[in-house]
Amino acid sequence: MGLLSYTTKKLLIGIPVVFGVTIILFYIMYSLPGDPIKLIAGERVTPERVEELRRAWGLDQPPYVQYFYWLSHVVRGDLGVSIVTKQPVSYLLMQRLPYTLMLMLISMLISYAIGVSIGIVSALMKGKPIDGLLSVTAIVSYSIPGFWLGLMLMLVFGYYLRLLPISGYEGLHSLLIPALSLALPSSAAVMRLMRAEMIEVLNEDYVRTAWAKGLPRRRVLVVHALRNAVLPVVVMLFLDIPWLIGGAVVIETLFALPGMGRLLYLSIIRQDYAVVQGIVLIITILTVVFNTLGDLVVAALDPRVRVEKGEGM
Amino acid sequence: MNSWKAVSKTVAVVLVLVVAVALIATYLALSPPYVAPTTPTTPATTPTSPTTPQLKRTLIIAIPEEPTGLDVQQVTWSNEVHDMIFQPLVVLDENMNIVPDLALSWEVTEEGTVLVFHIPSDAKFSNGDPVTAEAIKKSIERYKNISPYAEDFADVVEMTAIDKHTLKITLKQPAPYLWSVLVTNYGAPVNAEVAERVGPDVFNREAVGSGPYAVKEWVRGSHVTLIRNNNYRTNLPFVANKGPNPYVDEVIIRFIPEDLTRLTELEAGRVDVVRGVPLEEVKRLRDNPNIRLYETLAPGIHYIMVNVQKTPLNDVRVRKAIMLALNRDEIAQILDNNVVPWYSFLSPSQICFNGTVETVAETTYAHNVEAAKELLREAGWVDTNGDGVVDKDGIPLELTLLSPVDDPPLKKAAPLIQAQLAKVGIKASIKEYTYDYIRELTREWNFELALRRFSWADPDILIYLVHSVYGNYTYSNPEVDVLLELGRSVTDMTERSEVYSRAQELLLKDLPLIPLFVLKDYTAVNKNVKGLLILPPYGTMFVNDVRIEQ
Amino acid sequence: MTRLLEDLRKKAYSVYRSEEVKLLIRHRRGVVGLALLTIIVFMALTADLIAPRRFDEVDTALRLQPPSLKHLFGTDHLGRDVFSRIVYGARIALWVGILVVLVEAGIGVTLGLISGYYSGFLDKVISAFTDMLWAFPPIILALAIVTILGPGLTNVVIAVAVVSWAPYARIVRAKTQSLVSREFVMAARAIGESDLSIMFRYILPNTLVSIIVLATLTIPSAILYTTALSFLGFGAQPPTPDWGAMLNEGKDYIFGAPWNSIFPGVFITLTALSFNLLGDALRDVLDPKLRLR
Repeated sequence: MGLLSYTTKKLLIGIPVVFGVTIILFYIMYSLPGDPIKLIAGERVTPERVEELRRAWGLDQPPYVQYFYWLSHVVRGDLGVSIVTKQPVSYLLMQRLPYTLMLMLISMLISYAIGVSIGIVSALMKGKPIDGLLSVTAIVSYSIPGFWLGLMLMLVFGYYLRLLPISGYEGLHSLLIPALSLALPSSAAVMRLMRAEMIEVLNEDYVRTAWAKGLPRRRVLVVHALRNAVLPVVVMLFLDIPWLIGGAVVIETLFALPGMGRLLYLSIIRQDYAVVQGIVLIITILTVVFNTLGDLVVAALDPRVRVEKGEGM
Repeated sequence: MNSWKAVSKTVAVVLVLVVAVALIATYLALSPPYVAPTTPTTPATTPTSPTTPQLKRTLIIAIPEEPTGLDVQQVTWSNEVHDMIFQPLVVLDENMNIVPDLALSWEVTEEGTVLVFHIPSDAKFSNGDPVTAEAIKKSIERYKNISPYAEDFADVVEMTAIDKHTLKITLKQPAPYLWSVLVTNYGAPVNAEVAERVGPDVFNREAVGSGPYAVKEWVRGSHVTLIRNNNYRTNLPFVANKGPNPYVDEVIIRFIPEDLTRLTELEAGRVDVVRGVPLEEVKRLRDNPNIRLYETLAPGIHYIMVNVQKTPLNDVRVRKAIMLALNRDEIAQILDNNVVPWYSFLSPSQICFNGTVETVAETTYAHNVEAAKELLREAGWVDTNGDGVVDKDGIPLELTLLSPVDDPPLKKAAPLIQAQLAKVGIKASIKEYTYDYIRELTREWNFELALRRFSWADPDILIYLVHSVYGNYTYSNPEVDVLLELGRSVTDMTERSEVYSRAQELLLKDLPLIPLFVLKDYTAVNKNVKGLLILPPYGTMFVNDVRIEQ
Repeated sequence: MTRLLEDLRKKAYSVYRSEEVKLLIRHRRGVVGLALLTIIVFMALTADLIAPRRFDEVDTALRLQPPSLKHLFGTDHLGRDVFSRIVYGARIALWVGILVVLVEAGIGVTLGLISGYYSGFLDKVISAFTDMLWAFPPIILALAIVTILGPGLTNVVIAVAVVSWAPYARIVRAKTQSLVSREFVMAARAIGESDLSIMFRYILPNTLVSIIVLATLTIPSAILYTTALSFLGFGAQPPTPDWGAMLNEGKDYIFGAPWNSIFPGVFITLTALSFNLLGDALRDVLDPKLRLR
C-alpha cells in the first residue's frame, strides 16, 4: 500500500467517526431537559409567541429531520445560526477559533520544550539522583489539576506580582498563564515518553557502535539517538489534541478568554444547539486530521505499520 | 536507512512550516481587539473658558455584555448602548414620577384609554430625518410586528397623527403598565423608514434613533463607538443641557465580560465608567479615592418561589414558618451588605412602592426561630425521633431548594438559607441549575422551593408571577387576581399605589413568594467624570451634563 | 472431569508470585504513594473524629477568617471551617474515584473481552466505537452528559465513567486476543466450557493484573475529571464538601481569602499523586509493558 492510499484510507475511516460523533451529540442535545425557545424567551412572552419562535427555528420538527436539515446545510458550508446571539455559527467560530488555536499552540510549545529537554536530561542521567528528582517532579505535575494550577498562577503572577493580566484577553501575554496551566500537566507525559524512548534508543546497537567508534558525544546524541527517539514524541503530539481541547474548555472558562472552549461551555449551558454542533464538528474534524497525521508519520517511517495498524484498533 | 532519513527530514520541515504558518496566521488573526482612541488632533469648536481644565473628549464606558443587536426592537434585552442611541418619549425621575424626554408634554383622557403626545417641532433622528407623529406611529407599528415583546402594545387599537407633531394613541382598555415600557429604551422611537429601507439585519447593526449619541462603528467582540448626535434635543427637567453635549464628542462602550478586567481597566484610567461592578469588589472600590461609586436599588426583589400546591407547602403555616426562619440580615452580611434585607414584594425603585407595607411586613415577619417552630408545631410538624428534622406521620419535612448557578447572590445565599431552615427543623437539599432552567421548572410546577428574582419598574410584573391566569404558577387567589387586574386599569397613580398595597397585604398573608432581599446596583466612575447622573430603576445613565477633566 | 477443570482453572490463576510483593515493598516511590494514600484514607474514615466541626456548620460571624490555630485552613464565605470540609471531602474524593473506576472498568472490560474473544463483525463494531470515543475530548462529552442527567455527584460519576472506559477495552481486547490461542483456553474449550465461562474463568483472571494496574492509574484522572466538572458548577450540590465544588465557591474570594482555593487544590493533587505513585509502582513490578495511551 502506498502512502497516498494509506492516507486516503485513514481519512475515509475518519468520516464515519465524524458522522457518529455528530449524530450522538445531536441526540444528546435533543434530549437535554429544558426547551431552548423557552429559555431565550423572557417572563413577559406569550405561549403563542413561543410556538411561533419554535416554528421559525425549525424546532417543531422531529430530531432526524432537524439533523438532516443541519447536515444538508453543513455540506453547503452553512453551520446555521446561533439561537442566542442570532449570529451565523461560522462567524462565531471564526472569531473564537484563533484564540483557542493560539492558546493550544503556545501551550504545546511550552509543554514540548519542557518535556523534551527534561526527558533527555533525565535519560542521560538515568539512575542518578537528578533523574529520580525529575521523574518525581513529573509525577507531581501531572497530578495537579490544570484549573487549580491556573488559579494559583493567577493569584501569584496576576495579583501578588501584578506581572500579567488576571483574566480576559488584552493581547498575547494574556495567554501565558492559561497556556502554562494547560502545558505543565501535559509536559510531564511528554517528559516520561521522551525519557523512555531515549533510554531505549541509547541501548540500540547502532548507538552503542557509534559510542564505541569514539564519535563526538554531541554528534552521537543528536544524529543517532535524539532523532530517532523524538519521533514517537512527535506522534504523541498529534494524538494529544483532543485532550488539549478538553483542557481548553475549563481553562478558557476560568480565565474568561474569548475562545472556542468558553463558547462551547456557554453554549451547552444556554442550549445553543447550532453552536455546540458546529464546535463539535470542528473539534472532531481536527482530531481525525491530526490522528491521521500522527499515523502518517509513523507509517512513513515504518512501512510495516501500514499493514498492521491498518486493521483493527 | 536513506528513506528513513529523507522522510524524517521532510516530516521535520513540514512540521516546522505548519507551526510557523499557524503561529503567524493566528497572530495576525488576533489583532488586538481594542485600540485606545487617540485624542482628537483638532479640538472641537466648543466654548471653553480659559479657567476650564483640559477636557478629555471621549467617554469610555465598560459593560459586561455585548448586545446581540443594536436595534432595540429586535433584542430580548437592551443595555447602555441602546440608552445612548435611543430616546424614550418619557422617563422616570428619581422619585418614580414620569417626566418628559423626547415628548414636550402629554395628556391622558377618556378614563385612561386615550394618550396624546406632543412632539417638539424640531425633533430629529440622528440622521436628520424629522421625528414626527407619523414616524413614532410607524415605530410602534414595527414594534408590534417584530419585537419579541410585541405584546407590550397589544392594547393599542389605533394610532392617529392629529397633526405633524401630535400623536393620539387609543387603547382597548386603560393600560397604565404601558408607561413602564414607554419609559425604557424599548418604547423609544426608532427610525422605521430607514429600518424598512435597509432591512432588519443591517438596521440591527446600524440602528438610527434620536438619542444623544449615534452609531459610528461596532467592532464585534470589542466595542461600539458612538458619535455625538448634533440633532439631539431633550425636555428632561433634571438636566441642565438640553442639547448635544459640547464636552463629549464620542462615547465608546467596551464589552469586557470579565469582572476583574473591567475594574483593572478603570483603575488604570483606560475606562471612565464601569457597569456591573461585582459585589465582592465593592469594598475595595470604596476605599479608592479616585473612584466614585454610584448606588441604586434594583427595581425588583430576589425571592423564594413556593409551590403552594404541594404538601406540605400547601399549608400556609409552613410557608410562614419558612418566612420567619430566614435571617435576612445574615444573608445580607454574607453578601457583603450589597443587598438590602426585604420582606415585601415591591422595591423602592418600582412604581407604586409603598414604604408602609414594607415596614409592616418587616415587623410581622422579623427573624424568629421560636415563632417558626411554633407554627410548624401547630401544623403538626414536630421532631419526634430526635434527628433534628421535624416530622409528621413518620414523614420528615424535606424540601428541595432550586438555586441558580448563574445568579451569584442567590447561589451564595442558598447554603445559608439551607442552614437557617435546618435550625427550625426543615431539611432542604439544594439543586443547582441555570436560572432560565429553574424558571422553566417553576412554570411547569415541577419544584418545591425555587430561588428567583424579577426586575421591572412597573408593579404589573406581579401579575406574571401570582395571577392565576397571566402567571399560571401554582398560586391562585381570586382577590389578588382582581386587584392585579385593577392595577392595569387604574390611571390615578395614588389610587394605583393603593391597589398594589392591598394586593401585597394579601400576598403577605398567603406567601406564594418569600421575599429575601433587594439588590444594590453599583456603577464605578472615575472621579474626573463630572456631571454624570444615574437614576433608578434601571440605573440609567444620563450623560447630558458630563465633562471629563484631565 | 471436575479434577481436570479445577486444574485448568488453578493454572489460570497461577500468574501471581510472591516475589513480586517483595519487589513492591522495595519500590520506594510506591511506598511513599501508599503512605500518602493511607493518610487520606485515614482522614476519610475518621472524619467525624478529627474534624473540629461539621462540614455544613455555618457561622456568619466567623466568615473569611485566615488560617489560625482555631481554624487550621481558615474559614469560607459562610464561616464554615475549611479544614473540616477538606477532611470530609476526602470521603467524597475517594468514593467518587473508586466508583468511576469500577463503572468504567465494568464497561471497558466487558466490551474488551467480547471484542477480543469473538473476532469479526462484533469486534469491528466495538473497536470502531472505542476509536470514536478515543478521538473525542472526554471532558466535553462528559459535560454534555451531565447536562442531560442534571447536576449532582452520581451523575458526574456516570458521565465520567461513560466517556473514559476506552483504555480498558483496548488493553483487555489485546490481552484476550493473545490468550485465546493459548493451550489452557483451547483445552477448556475442548472439554466443553461455555464461552461465558471461558471469558470470565480463564481469560479474565489472566488480565486481572493489567486491570488492577490500569485502575490504579486511572483513579487520578477520574478524580481530576470529576473535580473539574464540580469546578465548572455541574458536580456536587452544596453544601457537599467536594474539593472541586469548594474551589468553585472559593474562586470568587481568591484574592481576599486565597486559603479557600489553596487547600482543596493541594488535597486534590496529593490524592491524585498518591494513586499515580502507587500505580507506577504496581506497573513497574507487575506489568511493565502496559501503556496507558
